[in-house]
Amino acid sequence: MAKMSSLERVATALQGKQPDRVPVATLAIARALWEIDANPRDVINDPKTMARAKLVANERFGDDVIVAGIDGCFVEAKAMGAKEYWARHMPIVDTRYRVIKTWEDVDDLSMPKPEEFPRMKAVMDEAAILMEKVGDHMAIATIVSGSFSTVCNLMGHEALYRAMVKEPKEVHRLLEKVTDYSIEYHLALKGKTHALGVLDPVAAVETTSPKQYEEFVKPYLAKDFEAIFKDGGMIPINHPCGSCTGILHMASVEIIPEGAPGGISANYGHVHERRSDLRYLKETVGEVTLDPDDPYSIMLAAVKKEIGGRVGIFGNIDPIGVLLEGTPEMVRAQVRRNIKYAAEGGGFILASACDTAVDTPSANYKAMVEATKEFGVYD
Amino acid sequence: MVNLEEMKTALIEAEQEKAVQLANQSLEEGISAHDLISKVIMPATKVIGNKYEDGEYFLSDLILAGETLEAMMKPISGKLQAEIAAGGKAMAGKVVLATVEGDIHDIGKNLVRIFLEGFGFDVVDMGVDIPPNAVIEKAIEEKADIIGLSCLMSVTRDNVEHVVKELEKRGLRQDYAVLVGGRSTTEHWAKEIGCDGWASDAPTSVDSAKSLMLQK
Repeated sequence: MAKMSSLERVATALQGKQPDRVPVATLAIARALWEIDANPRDVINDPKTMARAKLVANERFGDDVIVAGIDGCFVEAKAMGAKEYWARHMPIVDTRYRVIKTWEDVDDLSMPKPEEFPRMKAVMDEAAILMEKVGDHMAIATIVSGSFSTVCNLMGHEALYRAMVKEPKEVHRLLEKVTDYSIEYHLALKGKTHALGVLDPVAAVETTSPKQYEEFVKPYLAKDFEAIFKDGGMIPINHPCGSCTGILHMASVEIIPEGAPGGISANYGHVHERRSDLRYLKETVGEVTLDPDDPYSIMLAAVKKEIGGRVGIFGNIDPIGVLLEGTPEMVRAQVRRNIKYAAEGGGFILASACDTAVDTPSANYKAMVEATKEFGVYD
Repeated sequence: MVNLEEMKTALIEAEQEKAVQLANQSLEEGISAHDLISKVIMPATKVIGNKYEDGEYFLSDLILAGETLEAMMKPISGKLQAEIAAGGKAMAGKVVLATVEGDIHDIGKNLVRIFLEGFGFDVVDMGVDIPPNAVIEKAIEEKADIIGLSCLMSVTRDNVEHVVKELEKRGLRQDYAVLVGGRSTTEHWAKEIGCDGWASDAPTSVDSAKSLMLQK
């Protein structure tokens, strides 16, 4: 097979098809700023510097995907009035301050035009620079927030999870409003990015039940994904972040428009911690021997069996236990196991299961990419 | 006489009004707070933890059951203190609990508090974004057995290590067991930086805390 560009490789995998080799995404997102010794506080709204950091990291590590933005799961909530505080790597939403304290507050939500809200404008400009510089051959993905996680950022976790049981109609009213505004922002990225990584970290099943996912997450993501693809010409990728036992089909196949490319990125399950994840794994692929040092890779076998061939599957390198704390040898071993479980037939992008930590060693990113290039070539 | 099984079911199913009414009625009938904890609260929280691990319960269930438990514990705690003062059985142990400096995530920490209290631990919850020195000062003031630290974000993990180092620096390391948990933490890392225990989630924090108390 002729050698593909990174963009062709990723696009092929996101259609569930087989490229020349397994594409690889390190997800060195905020971490990229450390490659140019830049402090996120100083440069976050400087699109040129942000883009330069992402390009430098991509050149050094050699992966196939560049990600625009760093605080993707908070931007929409900030535009709607959420307060932020600075962690070391990014400004995150401070849920101690609740934008929605009563249901009357839903009617008064601020919704500035994306071009007029500085943080949204900065992300749009960063993405546009990346597209202009390398978008002809490199896959550009921009991270944004799923409506459910934005609502959580506006209400606070406990209030939302209580309201889903006690006042579901009001939660739906808020979700509808937030979804419409999110779509406005997501469509403002049209032409500036190939894909949108829709971050919905609180929608994983460590927190949200499959029944709640079906009622409060899926319909709004489906509406957003349809707009992203049909009106925006961009590829939607869902990132529910954690375990997907019981929601995997809803979080991927059922929300990606028929015939459209799309992807899912998560860690899919914690087989050593949750009996339900282990049960799902065994029910899907039969009796398995678990590697106590690698609870991540094996979940790909079940995920591949359930949704393989229909959407692109991202994963499943452990961002903490392996990329941050491990050695290049551990990274290589996990890459090899990931490829064994998920690469056959294509539709797989080897990636960190989540955003990577800012202290992740460069050697581990390089090992991840080199090992993918070594073990992930299709015949 | 109150049917304790009915009270247990009310807690498991988060029927707050009924659970509190049954708890109050049983205390009025003369049941000891210790018996209520060992015969109702502890087995019920164990069932809730199992349902979570089995994928039958999720966050909403834990929050609502937690709120029910908190409401039940108000009358029970008052009586328990009186029983302890009168020479009855002691609490399972005292825990000073905090989300580390730089991290404002509290839901996991709150669930840990609820589960530990449900299993008879006396928990002093300091809240979120708590500097290492403040945690240690509180542990000294409260004569705590365990310092429990929650840490969701990888960028704030150093602040767990700062607590351990500061305890060492002050010559207090042997006085307090340090228990850590949170999505960015791993058992391997917790051991490496010198913590005494690690918990993967709120229900398992109870077993870890019990195990640390046995080692004291």
